[in-house]
Amino acid sequence: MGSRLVRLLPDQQSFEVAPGELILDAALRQGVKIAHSCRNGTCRTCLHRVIEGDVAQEDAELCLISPEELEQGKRLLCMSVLRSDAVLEKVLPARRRS
Amino acid sequence: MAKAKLMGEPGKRQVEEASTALKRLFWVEKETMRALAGYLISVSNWSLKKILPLHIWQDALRADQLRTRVLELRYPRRDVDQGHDPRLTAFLANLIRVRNDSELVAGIYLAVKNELIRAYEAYLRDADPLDDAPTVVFMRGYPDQIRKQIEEIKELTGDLPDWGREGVRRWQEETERRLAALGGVLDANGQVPAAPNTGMADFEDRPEYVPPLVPVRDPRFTAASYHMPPRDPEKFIERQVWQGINHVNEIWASEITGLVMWKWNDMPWEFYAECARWCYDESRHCMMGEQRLAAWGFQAGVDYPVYADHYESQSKHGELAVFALLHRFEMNGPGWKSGLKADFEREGDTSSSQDFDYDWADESIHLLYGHKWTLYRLGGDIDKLEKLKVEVNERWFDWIDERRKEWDYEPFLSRLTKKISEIEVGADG
Repeated sequence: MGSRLVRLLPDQQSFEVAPGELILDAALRQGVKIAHSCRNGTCRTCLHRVIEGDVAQEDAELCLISPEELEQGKRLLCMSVLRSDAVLEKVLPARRRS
Repeated sequence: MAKAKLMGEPGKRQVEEASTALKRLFWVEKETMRALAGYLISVSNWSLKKILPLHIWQDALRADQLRTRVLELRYPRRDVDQGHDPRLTAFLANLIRVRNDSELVAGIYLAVKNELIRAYEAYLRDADPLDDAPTVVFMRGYPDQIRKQIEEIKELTGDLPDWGREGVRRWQEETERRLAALGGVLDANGQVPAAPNTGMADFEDRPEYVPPLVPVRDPRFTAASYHMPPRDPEKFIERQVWQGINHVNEIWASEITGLVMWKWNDMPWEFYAECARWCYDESRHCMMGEQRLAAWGFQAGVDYPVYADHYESQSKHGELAVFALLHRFEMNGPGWKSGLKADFEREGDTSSSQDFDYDWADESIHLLYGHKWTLYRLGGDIDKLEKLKVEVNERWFDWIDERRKEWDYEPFLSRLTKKISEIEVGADG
């Protein structure tokens, strides 16, 4: 099985992810900037929403993400792997004003 | 028939006695730590305000080891956090009802912490080095660690305006007398003391501690109304100084994490352990900035403001709002601090860059703590959490906009400009 492709919204950056490779690791390896910090699924800085594709959250029980968020298609990229090509969108903090 | 003989040394302490003694030590450490944490916001002496968070974290580490050990000694989990001696609990709750910094350290350091040293040494004297080895190994270092805490505080007392006054000495003596009336932390054999018949010593009637809405600052500091210069930096040296000022003023984050440790008195133990670490980390960030600025001759509170504007913007809305604002700000941390690390490294300021790098690492765990415990206070409702973060963030921006209209950052802006010019001339020369 070969690498799969990720496209990030809204900036349209794309990069490849090797089989079994964590998505954030793949991004950093290829110089793609994704805001991150802990690299172990607990700080939620790299929280994204899956727009298209199949993305698995590894060790979800150890990560700071709720079952409801997983159900809504949210994933922490530092602890997620691809099962297909995917399009992901950064989850931004809610804002009332621009 | 011959009587059975004792094999080896006589036993001195059974598991049940050990676990109840350790539970009492845990309770004294935890509640003493909570008193220090809750009063941090009221501490006026700048040096004391910066050293207490380290001690709070050390206290938390000791409490955590003691609590873990109690649970290992056939103790039900739910019981370790409850069922404490109510008289001891009342005594510990009084430690925060002080009038000034001097009374705080006289009561907690000179009275309680000295008694803790005695209790640990008594426990260790009769602890079987093999049977109770898992306790002995960690506890051996406690007396020296607490002695060092006391020494560090004693070094500051000359700088405390109330130190040496009769009222401070009386508070210390009353604290010692009342603790003695409880039989001390442990008895001479390192066991939970039997309740003595001497009754409780009268404790001076003190009103309940009410934390201020505006964190107290050293009276030697020049008055301010917010902390960051009101304009963006125009050159790199200004960026270095501005970020130093920002780092120093992270002390407000120690103050809110400390305050909630005292105010929220019914939280799981992990909350206190994690907030103690958070409280210490923020004081480290403060000292990182202060050290960098001091290297260029800038003096905290004199050449730049030390003012808890973030805290004040929310405090009328309760401590959860302040706590949530801290969490909301930390969410920007990874992107911001990693950018600062890279920028400052590129400019050759590896001192600042290294500070930002460790700060960024600290923020990873703070994000976990902030999300977990704010959500806990909101009953696990993530929509409420998101709304609260928006609310406090907007309130902050409204607040600071108003403050900037009211104050032109003088005399600090002139002092900063002058010193920066001198540094530049010195560098050119």
